[in-house]
Amino acid sequence: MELGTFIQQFIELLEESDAEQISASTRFHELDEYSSLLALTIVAMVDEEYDVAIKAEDLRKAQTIEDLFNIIKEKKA
Amino acid sequence: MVYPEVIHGMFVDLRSITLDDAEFSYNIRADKRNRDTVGQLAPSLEAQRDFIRRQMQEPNDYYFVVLNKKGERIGLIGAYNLQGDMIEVGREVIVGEPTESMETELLINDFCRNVLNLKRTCGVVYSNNVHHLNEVKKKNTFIKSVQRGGHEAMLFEFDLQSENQIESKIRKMLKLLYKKQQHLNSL
Repeated sequence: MELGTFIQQFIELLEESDAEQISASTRFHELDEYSSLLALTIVAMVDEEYDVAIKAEDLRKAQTIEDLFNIIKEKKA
Repeated sequence: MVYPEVIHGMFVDLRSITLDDAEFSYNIRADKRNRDTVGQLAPSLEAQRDFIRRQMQEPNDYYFVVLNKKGERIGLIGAYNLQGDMIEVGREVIVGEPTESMETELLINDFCRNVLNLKRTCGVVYSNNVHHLNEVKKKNTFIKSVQRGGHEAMLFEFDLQSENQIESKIRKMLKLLYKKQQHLNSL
């Protein structure tokens, strides 16, 4: 699992945010377009790409995209 | 008005609110994490109970408790203010998984479309609820700015008859996640 790949996959889910502004340290809850719909899209992407089921609690715990990546990595291990 | 049947989904079920849900509905609406997203709060638990009592008698007013598949109450949603072929959807507050909140919205739309035989729904979102507003803008047509309870808000309409791309995308994601969950549960 590569952080760079995950960030790219995350960016592909976004429709309005400036991709160049998105990095490992982006606090994704603070993105204007963050919503239940984007949360569901993240859950579906992680399930498909990493075969990992993430929960609302995981999304809440993760402040940044890197935090989320680390949670997925931990669940995958 | 009390819809007598339970509406079943893959991740959640909706059943009509009862007086036994007064405390739950009061607490979830009063929770500070939800204060930006729900409308005016009943001043007391007794007032919330009175509201439910009146709602249960009100024609064309539907108020549902959202249950997860463990049977736990995780939210509320309603449909009310019927006008011609359109009904307002709101009173929504859900503290659950993204799958549960998104399916709740699909189920209430299906209820309005297939049970009430309506053509449109409308909904009001407070202007300060930026995240939800952005989501609603993707699925609905903006009609006008309005005032609700002294707050700036936006009124949207949703066409229940035409195929909505976002709705189809959500249904597809939910089906895939449900299938996966079923598969894992069967192992």
